[in-house]
Amino acid sequence: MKRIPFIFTLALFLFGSELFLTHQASAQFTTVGKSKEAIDYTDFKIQPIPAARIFIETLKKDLTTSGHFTEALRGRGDYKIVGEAAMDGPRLNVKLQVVVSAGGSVRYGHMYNSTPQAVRSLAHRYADEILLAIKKKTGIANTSIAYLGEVNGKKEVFLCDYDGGNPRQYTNDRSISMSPTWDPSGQKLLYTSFRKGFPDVYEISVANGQRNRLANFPGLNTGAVFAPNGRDVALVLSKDGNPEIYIMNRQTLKPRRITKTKASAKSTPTWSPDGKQIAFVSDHGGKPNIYIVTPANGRLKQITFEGRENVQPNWSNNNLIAYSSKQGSSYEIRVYNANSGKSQSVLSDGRTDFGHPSWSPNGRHLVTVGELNYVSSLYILDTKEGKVIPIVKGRGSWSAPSWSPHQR
Amino acid sequence: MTVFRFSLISLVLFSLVFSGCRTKRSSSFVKGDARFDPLAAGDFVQLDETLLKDSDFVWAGGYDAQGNYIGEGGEFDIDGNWVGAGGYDENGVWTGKGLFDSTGKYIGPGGGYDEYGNFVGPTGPYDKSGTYAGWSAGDYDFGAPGDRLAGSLQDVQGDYQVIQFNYDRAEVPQAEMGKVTGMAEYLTNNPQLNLVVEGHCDERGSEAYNMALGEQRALAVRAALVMRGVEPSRVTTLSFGEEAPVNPAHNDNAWRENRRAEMKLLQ
Repeated sequence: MKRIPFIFTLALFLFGSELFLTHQASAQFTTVGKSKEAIDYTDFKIQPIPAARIFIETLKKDLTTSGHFTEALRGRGDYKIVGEAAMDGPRLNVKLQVVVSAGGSVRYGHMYNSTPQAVRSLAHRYADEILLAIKKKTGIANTSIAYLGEVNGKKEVFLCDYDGGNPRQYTNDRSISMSPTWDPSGQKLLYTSFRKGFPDVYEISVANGQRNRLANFPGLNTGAVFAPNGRDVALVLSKDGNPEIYIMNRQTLKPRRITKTKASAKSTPTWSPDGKQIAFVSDHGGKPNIYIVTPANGRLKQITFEGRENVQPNWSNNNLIAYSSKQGSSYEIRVYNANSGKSQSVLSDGRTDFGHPSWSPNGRHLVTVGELNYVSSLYILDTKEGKVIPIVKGRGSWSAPSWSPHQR
Repeated sequence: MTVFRFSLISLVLFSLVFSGCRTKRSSSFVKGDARFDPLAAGDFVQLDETLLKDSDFVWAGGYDAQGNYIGEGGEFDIDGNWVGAGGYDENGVWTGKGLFDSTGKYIGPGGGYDEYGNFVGPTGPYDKSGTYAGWSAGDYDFGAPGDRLAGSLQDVQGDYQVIQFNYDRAEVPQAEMGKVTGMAEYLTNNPQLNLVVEGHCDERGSEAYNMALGEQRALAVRAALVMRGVEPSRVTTLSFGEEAPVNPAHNDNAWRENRRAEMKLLQ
């Protein structure tokens, strides 16, 4: 139990200069009933080269960030990781086993190799496999984040690993890009681009950059997001005289309107995990709040009532809706439990504006924007423990993150 | 009748003067009040409170809830708004005959105000949601915001181009409506031209929501143009949300400049 507050304090200390976390009542963070299991990495041999060092550091960080393990002192772990990472010709070869300390039984063992440049991905792969083998849980180490960055006064789409590693610019439209989102297979992105002078929705293949324009109706075309079935797309169109939520089949590209309110602003549709409902923002009630619509019958249900603005909902695989809420002078991240109807704050510090939360596929972590003094950075939050880690920071403003599904 | 009316009006004026202009009360005229030079005792009997009630003032005209005399005839509604053969709109301007809707907005002599606060003409009801239902009952809908009109964009001459908006609002402020009226005239006189209305927001709030708010501002300008005679198909909307500010600073001044719609001609 002692390790949890230590790591929390350490994270605060290291990253806290710009992030003063004043969490509310500790009751919201359900600490695990028993202490986390500890892994002893000290018997893993690494050749003294950067690639091998990066491998083991990335592996440690992945397993710790998952929230299921801590790093043990020599001889004190529940598990030991043994093996070695060394160059074999041009490739880094890794032999790795996870052994139960008491008794020595082998719970996992694999040998993989990769180029030195891809060593982070190699570590991510090991981390998720180890988590699955030991805890039977699906991890997030093998996921990516799509986001926006400013380049020469324009906004382009970027991709990075879930921990901020390997960041790369993905579009070069030299225009304004907005709200990238992933399809359920993790192979395509939808985003809004002004490259033709108007906000249109594009689909872009992650593997080869092939692009299709899906929506260019008069007025707004934005907020496009794939349904869990991978066939339908929800988006915001204003082509009938008012911004409304529409559903469009990916093949026919014919939109069907599913909301109809008096003149009002609407944004960010997000699908429920069963694909039967969509949460979105509308201000037809006077100020921006989050509503759920059931496309089958058009019924609307308001789910946020307090604060001055409630925006940017994102619906997790385990039926939680994260959103950004302006309660006082700053925005905080809140989570609405669609099963219980209850809402609670998960991230606020009274100064930073937190917004645009996006859930990881495991419904435990989320990525969010934190903006302070008009500079925005990306952070990941473990909602179970309240741990916050910056992942994309510095050299400009970064925004609109979207967490990919599991890949590979 | 004339004499009686004259005396009554004088007494009304007395009551205004000596009761601090609160016409609902006439308590100063208690019998035997030493301030009054006693005329025939009988003259003052009629000024007893029991004889002069608030409603007595109605026949000669009416008073609104603030006690201002507002002319002949009429009644007060249950909220105290004057609703008779005359009324005050929400700006306190005497508007003649008409009715107030359930929110207290003056809706004209059978006419109405749209949700942008513009008077939209002598006929038409409000629908259940309080939206003015237009020249004929039905949805408030001017149709699609125009196809992607072709042509090259031209800046509008003079200061007609930019319309400023209030924070978090999408209605064209009354003070800016002159620019819309001017543009409507210009478009009517130049049928070969079309128009793109850009909608913009300041940087506060979420980018996605601001895309829609910017679109609403553009749609509001478009609606105002249509109501001034411009064909809906000649005007298209283009929202940039908060993505294209004219002033990159982070202060009230910059935000005010950035909350705008820009009208650009297509030739």
